Amino acid sequence: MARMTFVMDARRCIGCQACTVACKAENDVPLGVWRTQIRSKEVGKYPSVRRHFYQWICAQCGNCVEASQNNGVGAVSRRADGIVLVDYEKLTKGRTKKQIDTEIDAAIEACPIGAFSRNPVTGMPEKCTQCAHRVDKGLVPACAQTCLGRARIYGDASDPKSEVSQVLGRNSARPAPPNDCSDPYVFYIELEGSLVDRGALEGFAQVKTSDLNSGKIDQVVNSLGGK
Amino acid sequence: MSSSNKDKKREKGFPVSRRRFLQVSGGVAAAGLLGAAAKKGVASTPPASEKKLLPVNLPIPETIIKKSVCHQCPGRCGIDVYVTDGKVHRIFGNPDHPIANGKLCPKGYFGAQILYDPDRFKSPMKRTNPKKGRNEDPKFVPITWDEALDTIAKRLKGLRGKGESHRFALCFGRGWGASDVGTIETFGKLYGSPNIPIGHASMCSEGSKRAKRATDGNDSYSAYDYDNANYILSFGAGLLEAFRPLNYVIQKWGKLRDKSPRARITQVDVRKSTTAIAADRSLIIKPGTDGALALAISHVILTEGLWNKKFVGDFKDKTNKFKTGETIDAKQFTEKWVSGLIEWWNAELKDRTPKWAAEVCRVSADDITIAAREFATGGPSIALMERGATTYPNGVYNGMAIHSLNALVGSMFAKGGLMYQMKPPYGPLPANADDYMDDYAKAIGGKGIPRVDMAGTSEWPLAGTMLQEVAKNHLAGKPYKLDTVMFYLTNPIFSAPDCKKWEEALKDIFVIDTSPFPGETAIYADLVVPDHTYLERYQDTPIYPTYGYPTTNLRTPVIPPLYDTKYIGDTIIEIGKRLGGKTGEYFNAIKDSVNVLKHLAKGFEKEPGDNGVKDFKGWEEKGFWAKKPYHWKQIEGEFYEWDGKDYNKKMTQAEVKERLLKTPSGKFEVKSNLLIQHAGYISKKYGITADRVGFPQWVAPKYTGGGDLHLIVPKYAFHAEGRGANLPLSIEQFQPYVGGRKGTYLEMHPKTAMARKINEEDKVKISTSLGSIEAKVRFYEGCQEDVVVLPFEFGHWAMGRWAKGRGSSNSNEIIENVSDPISGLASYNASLCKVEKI
Ligand code: SF4
Ligand code: SF4
Ligand code: SF4
Repeated sequence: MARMTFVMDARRCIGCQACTVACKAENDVPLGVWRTQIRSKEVGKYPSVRRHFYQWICAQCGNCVEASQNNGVGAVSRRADGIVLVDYEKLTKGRTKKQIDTEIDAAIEACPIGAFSRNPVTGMPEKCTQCAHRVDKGLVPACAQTCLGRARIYGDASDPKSEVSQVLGRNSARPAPPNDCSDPYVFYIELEGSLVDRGALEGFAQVKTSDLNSGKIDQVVNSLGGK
Repeated sequence: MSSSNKDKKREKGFPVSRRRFLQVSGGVAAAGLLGAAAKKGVASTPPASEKKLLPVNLPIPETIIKKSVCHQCPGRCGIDVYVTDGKVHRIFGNPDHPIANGKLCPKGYFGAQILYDPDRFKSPMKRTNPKKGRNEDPKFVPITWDEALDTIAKRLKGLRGKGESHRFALCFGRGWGASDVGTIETFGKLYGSPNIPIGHASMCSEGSKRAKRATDGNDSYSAYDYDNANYILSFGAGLLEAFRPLNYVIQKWGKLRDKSPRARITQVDVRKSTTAIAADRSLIIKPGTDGALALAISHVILTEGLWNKKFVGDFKDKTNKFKTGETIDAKQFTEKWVSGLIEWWNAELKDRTPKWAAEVCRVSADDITIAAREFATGGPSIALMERGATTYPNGVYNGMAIHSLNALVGSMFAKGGLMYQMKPPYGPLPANADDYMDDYAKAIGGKGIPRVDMAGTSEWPLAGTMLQEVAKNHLAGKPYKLDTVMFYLTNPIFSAPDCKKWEEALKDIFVIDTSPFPGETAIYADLVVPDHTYLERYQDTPIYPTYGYPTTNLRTPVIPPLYDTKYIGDTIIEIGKRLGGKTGEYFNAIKDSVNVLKHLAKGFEKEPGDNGVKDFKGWEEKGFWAKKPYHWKQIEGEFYEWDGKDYNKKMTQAEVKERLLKTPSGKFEVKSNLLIQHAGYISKKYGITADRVGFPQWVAPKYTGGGDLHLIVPKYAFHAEGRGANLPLSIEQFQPYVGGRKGTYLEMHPKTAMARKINEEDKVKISTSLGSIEAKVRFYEGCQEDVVVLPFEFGHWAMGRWAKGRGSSNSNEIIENVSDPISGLASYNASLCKVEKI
C-alpha cells in the first residue's frame, strides 16, 4: 500500500518561498490564507546569526478525520495512499449550515498544526491536499516540484527504492511539533523547533467559522491588510 | 465570504478557483477542468482537487501548454504557460529549459496577475490635463493608434526639421533582444539622435562590466561554471535573493552543497543577508570596502605562493619573492596571461596586508588569511560580484580588485571558473540599416552633439550610459533641454537616485510612456502607447551571461492580446514608417516585429539547436534555441578551442586576444591600459597620481547623505521586475524576513535602535541631505550597528490599486545622485542617513 510522504529537509531550505507561491498559484488559494508557509527563527548574536526554517504544512495526520467522524458524517477521510481529503458532497448534501459548520470546526479544532482551515472565498474546508490531483497523474506536488533548495522530498515511503525512503533511511526525521499528530505523513530533518519570529505571513493560516462570520478576513483578502 | 465579495474579486480581474487536473504528455496536454463556477456561500462547488471523490459529468475543455519566457527578472527562465478556455491559469518552469529546469523562483508565478491586472491601459491615450504633478489626474482619453503614432511622428519630424533631433530621447530599462532594443537602436541611427537609446545600466550594474573591461577587455557580465566550481567567494552578490537568474542560481547552490566533498561558499556582505546566513562563512564588512578585502586576499595568495603559476606566470628562479612591504624587480618574473603583476605588487599590493584590511573592512586578519587560503587552494574557485560591491564611488576599483582574484587562481575560462556568454547565430534582417541613412542621419555624428546624459564625453569618458543624469541636465539646460522623451521598461521618476528631480524635469518635456499599466512615469505622460504584457507578445530574449553556451528564447503570445495594445518593437517600426523618407523605406522593408524574428531564426538553419530547433516554428514550439558547448577553455595555462568534438585546437596568443582576453596586451591586465588612457581624468577624480590609475587599488569611498548610519538598499526575492509593488501574490508575502505589507521595514540592530529610544514596530524618519522618508523598524541581530537596511522598490505612489497606501519609503528619494566616475554606476549604497523616532 502506497504511503505518500513528505520529508522536509530543514537544513536545505533557504527560505526562498518559491513553494509558498507555487502552491497558491497551483491551487488558487485565496489571498491572505495559505496551505504552506516557510516560517523561520533567527538565532544567535551578531555576527553569528543563523536562520532556521520550518516548512509549515498539513501533516496528513488524520486527527481531523476522527473529529469529522465524531462530529458529523465523516466528510474528511484518508485515502488508501494516506492523503487526507474532504468529500464536499458528503459534507453538504442535505445538511444544514449549522451541521456543516460544526463538522468543519471540529476538524479545525482537532488539527495540531493549525493547517485545517476554511477557504474564505468558497467557505469550504481548505487544507493541503498533497496536490492529490497531480499525484494521481504521476506528478509531484507543486511545492515539491519547484523547491529550489530540494528541501521538500515527496514520494511513497512504502517503496524502499523511492527517494523519500532513502532519505528517511539515512537521516533521523521527526514529525512536526507539537507531537500531537496521531499518524503523520510529513517528517522533518533537523527541524529546530517551530517557534517563529520572522516570516510568519500575516493573515489567516487558519480561518475559523467565527472569522468568516465576523467579516474580519474580508479586509485581508480584499485589500491585503496587515502591517 | 459572501457572494458579493466574490463578485468583487472577479471584477478586480483575478480569476477565482479554476481547478484542473493535469495530464502532461507531449507538448500539448489535454486537461480536465472540473471546477464549475463556484456557487454561492458555504455550499459552493468544492475545489476539484478534492472533488475527485465525486462523480462528475462536466465537459472537459482543453488545456494548452504554450512556451514562453519569464519577465520577472533578467534571468530569462523558459516557462510553460497553461491556458484553458483562453485563460492563463498556471505557469510552470519549462522542464527542458536549461535555466529553468522545470522550476521557477517565487516571482515566476506572478505572471497571470500581470496579465489580468485590472488597472491595465486598454488603448493608446492622450493627456487632457496640461498640469502635471503627483496628485494631478492626467485625465487621459482613449485615442486610436493612428492618432497616437501620427502625433509622435509629427513631433519627431518637426524636431528634425529644426535640426533638433537630439532633443528626442528614448530611455529603456530592461531590454530583451534584437526585436526591441535592436529595433530601437536602428531607429536612433536612422532618425539621428545620440539619445536613442539611453539605457539604464548606470542604475543597474554597469560597475562590474567596466571592471571586467578594464582588466580582461570584456565589457560584460560573466557566466559561471557553477557545476564544476568548488569554492565561491561572493562579494555582496545576493545569490539567494536577487542574483540572476535567481531560479538557476538557487538550484546550483543546492547542487554545490550536494557535492562530495561539498563546495564551500563564502559570502562577503555588509549585513547577515539571507545569502550570508546560509553560506559556510560570512565576512561582514564596512560598506564599500570590498576592494580592500580583495586586495588583502591577493596579498596573501602572492606572499604564500598560492597563485596559479601556469596561468599567471612565475619567478624565473621559481622562488617566491613576494614579501610584505618589499618591492620586486619586474625582470625577475615571467608573466604568462597576466600583465603588470609585479608593478601592481610594488605600487599597491605589497602593503595590503590582512592586518591593514582588517582595520579598513572590520574583519579579522585571520579570517582574511583563511578565506585567501581556501580560495586559492580549494578550487576551482570563483570570485563574483555585481551591485553589492560596485554601487559606491570606488566601485570599479573594488570590482577590479575582486575580478583579479579570478586571474590569480587561474579561473578565467577554466573548468569550474568563469567565462563570457556566447551570442546566438541570428540571421540578417531583410534590410541593412546602413543603406538607409539619409544625409541628415549621416551628418549628425559629425556635429559633435553630446548625449544629454553626457556619457562618453569628457564629463563621463568611460561611461556608456548615464540615465540618472538626464533629469538634472535637462533642468539645467546643460548640454540642452529635451523636447520629447519616450520610456520603455524604465521608471526613473521612481528608481533614479534623487528621483524627485525627475518630477520637476518631466513637467516641461513631452512624455511618451509605453507601459501597459499605470506607474509614476505614466502619471506624467502626455501620451501613452501601451505595450503588450509579456504573455501577449512575440519577443526574442537571448540570455544574459549565465553558463556561456549560446541560448536564445522566444516569447510567444500565449493568448491574443486582451486589449488594444502594441508591442514596443512594432510601435517603433510604425513610427519609423510614418517618418517617411529613407527611414520610412527601411521600416517598410522590415515590415513588423514578427518578420524581424523570422529573419533572426533563419540563422538557426545552419546551426540547429540541441533541441532540434532550426526555424521560427521550432523556436516557437520549444520556446528556445540552445547549443552546447561553450567554445573555449583554459586548461593549465593554455587556451583551447572546441573543434566540434573536444577542446582540441590550441589557440595562439592572437586568437586569445581576439576572442577571450580582449585587452590591448591580450592578457589579464592588473595594470589596465584602458584606465591609463584616461589617466588625467581618473587621477583628478580620485586624487591619485597618474602613474597609479591602472592598478586595482584601494580608494576610500566617499559616503553621501551626511548621517551616522549606512543606508543599504538591497533587492528582495519578491521584487518582480518593476511590478512587484502591485502584485497581490507578491505583496502578501513581501519581504518575508523584514516584513511589511502596509509599510516597509527598516532593519536595525537592537542596540542602535535602543540608543535612539526606538522600539520594534516604531515608526521612524530616515533622513539624508535630500530629505526624509518613513518606515517601521524591525530589530535584526544580523545588522552591523552602524548599518540600516531598507529594501528598494517600496513606496510607490502611482502603480495601481494594490500598491496604493503601502507607505512612503522610496529610498531613491533620499539617495544623492553621485556616481562612480569610471563606470558611471549610481552609488546607491554609499549613503549615510539619520534615523529618528517619529
Ligand atoms: S502539496 Fe500541494 S496543496 Fe499541499 S502545500 Fe504543497 S502545493 Fe500546496
Ligand atoms: S522552495 Fe524549498 S528551499 Fe525554497 S522556501 Fe520552499 S522549501 Fe525552502
Ligand atoms: S529567476 Fe528570473 S526569470 Fe527565472 S523564474 Fe525567477 S524571475 Fe523568472
